[in-house]
Amino acid sequence: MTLFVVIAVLAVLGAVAVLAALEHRTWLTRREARRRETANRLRPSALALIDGEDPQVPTLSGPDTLVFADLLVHYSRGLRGEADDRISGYFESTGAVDRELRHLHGVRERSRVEAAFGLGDLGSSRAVPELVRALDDRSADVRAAATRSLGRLGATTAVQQVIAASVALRVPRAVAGAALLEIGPQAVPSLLELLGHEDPHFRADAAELIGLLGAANDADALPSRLRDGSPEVRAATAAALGRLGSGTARDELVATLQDRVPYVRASAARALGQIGGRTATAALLEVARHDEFDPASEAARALARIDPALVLRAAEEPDSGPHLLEAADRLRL
Amino acid sequence: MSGAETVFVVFSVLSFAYFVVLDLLYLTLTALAWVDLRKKLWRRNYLGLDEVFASPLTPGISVLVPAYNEEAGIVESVRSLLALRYPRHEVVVINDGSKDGTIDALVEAFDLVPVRQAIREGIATARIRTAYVSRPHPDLLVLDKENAGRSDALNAGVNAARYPYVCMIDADSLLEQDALLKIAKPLLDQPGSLVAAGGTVRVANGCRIENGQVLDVRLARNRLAVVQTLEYIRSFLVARVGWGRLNALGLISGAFGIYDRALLQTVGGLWVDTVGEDLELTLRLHRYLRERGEPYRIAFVDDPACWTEVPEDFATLGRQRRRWQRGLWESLRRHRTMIGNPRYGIVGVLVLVYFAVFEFLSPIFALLGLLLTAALWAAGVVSTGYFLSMLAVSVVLGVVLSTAALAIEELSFGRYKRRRDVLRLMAYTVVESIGYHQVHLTWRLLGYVDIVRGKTEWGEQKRRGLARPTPTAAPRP
Amino acid sequence: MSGDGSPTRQPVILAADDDEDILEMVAFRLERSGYTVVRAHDGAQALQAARETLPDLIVLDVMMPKLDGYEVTRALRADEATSRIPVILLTARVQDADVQKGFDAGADDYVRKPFSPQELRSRVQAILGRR
Repeated sequence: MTLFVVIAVLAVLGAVAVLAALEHRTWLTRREARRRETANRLRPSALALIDGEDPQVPTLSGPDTLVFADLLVHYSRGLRGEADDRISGYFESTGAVDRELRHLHGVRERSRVEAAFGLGDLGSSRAVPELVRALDDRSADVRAAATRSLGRLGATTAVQQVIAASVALRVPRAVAGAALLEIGPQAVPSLLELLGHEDPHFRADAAELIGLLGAANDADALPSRLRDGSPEVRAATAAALGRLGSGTARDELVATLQDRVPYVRASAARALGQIGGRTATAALLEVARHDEFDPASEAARALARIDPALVLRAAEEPDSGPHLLEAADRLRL
Repeated sequence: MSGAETVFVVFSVLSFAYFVVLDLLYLTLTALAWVDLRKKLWRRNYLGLDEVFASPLTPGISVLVPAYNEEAGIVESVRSLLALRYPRHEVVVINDGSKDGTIDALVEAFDLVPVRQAIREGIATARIRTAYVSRPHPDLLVLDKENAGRSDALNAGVNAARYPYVCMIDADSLLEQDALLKIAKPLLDQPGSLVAAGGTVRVANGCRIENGQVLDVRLARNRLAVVQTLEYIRSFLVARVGWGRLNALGLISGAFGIYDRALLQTVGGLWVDTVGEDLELTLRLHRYLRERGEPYRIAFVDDPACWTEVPEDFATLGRQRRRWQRGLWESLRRHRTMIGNPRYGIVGVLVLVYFAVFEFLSPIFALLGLLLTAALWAAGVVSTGYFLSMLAVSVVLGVVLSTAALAIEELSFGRYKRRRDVLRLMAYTVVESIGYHQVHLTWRLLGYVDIVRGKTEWGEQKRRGLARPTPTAAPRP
Repeated sequence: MSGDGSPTRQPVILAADDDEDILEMVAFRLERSGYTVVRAHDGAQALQAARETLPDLIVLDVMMPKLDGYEVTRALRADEATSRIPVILLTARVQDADVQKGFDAGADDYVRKPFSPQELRSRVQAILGRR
């Protein structure tokens, strides 16, 4: 008998849950429709505010304030420069920044994540010290959100701490990396330091990010890493040198074409293609003809960038191999 | 009681126990899925997908599309795949020796030019006749290959792929705009350890579709499609989420999953001699990595969705399910050493046992056991109370579990927005448990016949609905 | 458009973005700067509007449903009537390869998202002034 009662109760519970969910969904749909209507009504004021021609902020009440804030947040993600500054000015003036800062210390994980995430969109640099503190939050989601926000705010003062959080495995490497890229070239000095870290993953990350952020003169610290003990670091270093396009490392990259690990050779070949210059062509031709798939394919592509005529000629020769043939065909497209 | 009668009664009691265990397992999975989705629900707003999209650190993905006689839809499908929101992806279409104008349609639409493409020799495949690249779309590669089946086509795609991850789909699968971004998110959060991930497969029948995108989610009119909609919801949003939470995902559906390309090449790609290639591959990855003691994760990501057409007639659906049963058998046979083997951890002792007992043997316990109990009751051997309890743990609890799955879907995703659709789905939880499920088990039973006959040829099958919503051996007859 | 006998006509700019808010932002800034703006919400609409209105300049978001910005640009270049209309791409992508892809498709300039409306306006003015 108990069995039947239990099953009946479960059945009723399930049905009630579906019906409740349905009602909830209908309510959400209506609310969304209202929200969109409000957004359309308020958009002109938001645009005027962002554009700065009409700094008069409309007096808003209740739900309108929230919709207006959402609109501005959406715009702040797509805009930069003065327009973005005006948006943060608005949030500063309405007290939204202070409110979120308070929430960052809330008890509920959810409100802390919301605050950590939202502060990046409000554009106030006042939030930076608090967000740095949030890198030590006990919730991984708060830490990740804070990292992202520090990137959004371009918090140059937080570079060390973001790197430290990543190294301590408190923030996923990709999240930290994306934030550092947002912060920009000012992160480079700290990344150069990270090149000496004992864990090869972080040395490789550092090299990769330097390649994405650095200027040509940052390349000086890199070539020694082409002889790093870890292939991951060697490959990342070669890629970075390619991105920085510094011709000074060309000879060392040519030497790296002899590395014993195929993906390092591939990375060096790609980098030589990006740097250009005909001194590398002989070595690349050799790799394109005889090496394993990945390095050979990269070498052929690099040659196609440096010297298309050479590739077309080499493809006619009997021992050209599949990669030069492909590169030649792609050049003819 | 005669000897035969005793045997029958014992078998009936075994079936009863089978249902109870399965119910408990499914209730646990439902609870796990519920907890998991509640936790993830609000977090979805804070994934930072825009950052993933803008980041140069996001790894590249090669989308592999096997095509066999897809002339009608292939162009639209490729166009929408090229337009997916993802920073670095290429589309590799592998024409598996189609007899229609698939290649001509592609050449025409994308201005394809033959190229002497260099392709890895890693996995042996049938001969590639011609490789084409698109003049206007450098990220589109088309391989025209001799016919050798879907797995062989995908293997050729793996060989040709440029990026470190491959995404396998069907030519008629529709990926949502953000599907790749969402499924790649765990790659960024746990670099290194994630070797494969599966996404949710949903039923596209009835939806309004334009330019390869689902614009309006609607429930199909066709009854079989509605029942399958329910089946897919349960198997993806309850079973897979639950298994994923136990870190024991046994199957990544062939309709939508991403894999580490280098690992695929190491293990030899898809097995071409089975009709259950997606299941076999997932099991082989588990086996390979566990035998080497390497830390790894195979994840299920509930949010990104792929929409697929499911069969709308009994004959096609029946063939599909019989094929799955045969595929299941082939996979279990190849990996029989894993079944119940603690060396393979939870995958061995739980997942494989589940596949063997609650999926493969389900027709015996769930169908024959129930029929036998009914017969014993009619003959007056067992009591009415016993028979009713049997019905309760089999059929009625099935309705309950499907309703719970529907509730989870509505509370967490709510893709079905129209009231009428949801109510109809709710009504179909009954149809599914009483009627459809028994038919499904009959197909599985007929699958045994195919296995015994050793049917290995594929035949000219209708290519619709290759998606596998298993593990679905729903906990009832 | 200058010197074609109708110097008083406001230059017409076609703006296409699937994000309604961003589209309105672009339109707002350009309208305030004295241009007439035609709006399109996806690539297909943009192409059609370009052929019908033959605008003086086109601002295209790269990521749009149906046809992306590159494809629209290529289609415009392939069509005699629209091949000379300058195109500015709005791109959220950061790779050099994508910028290159835009120029290969035939774009005249690109503006990276997140963007500054003022910057967009000066690019527009620079291109229109050049002609």
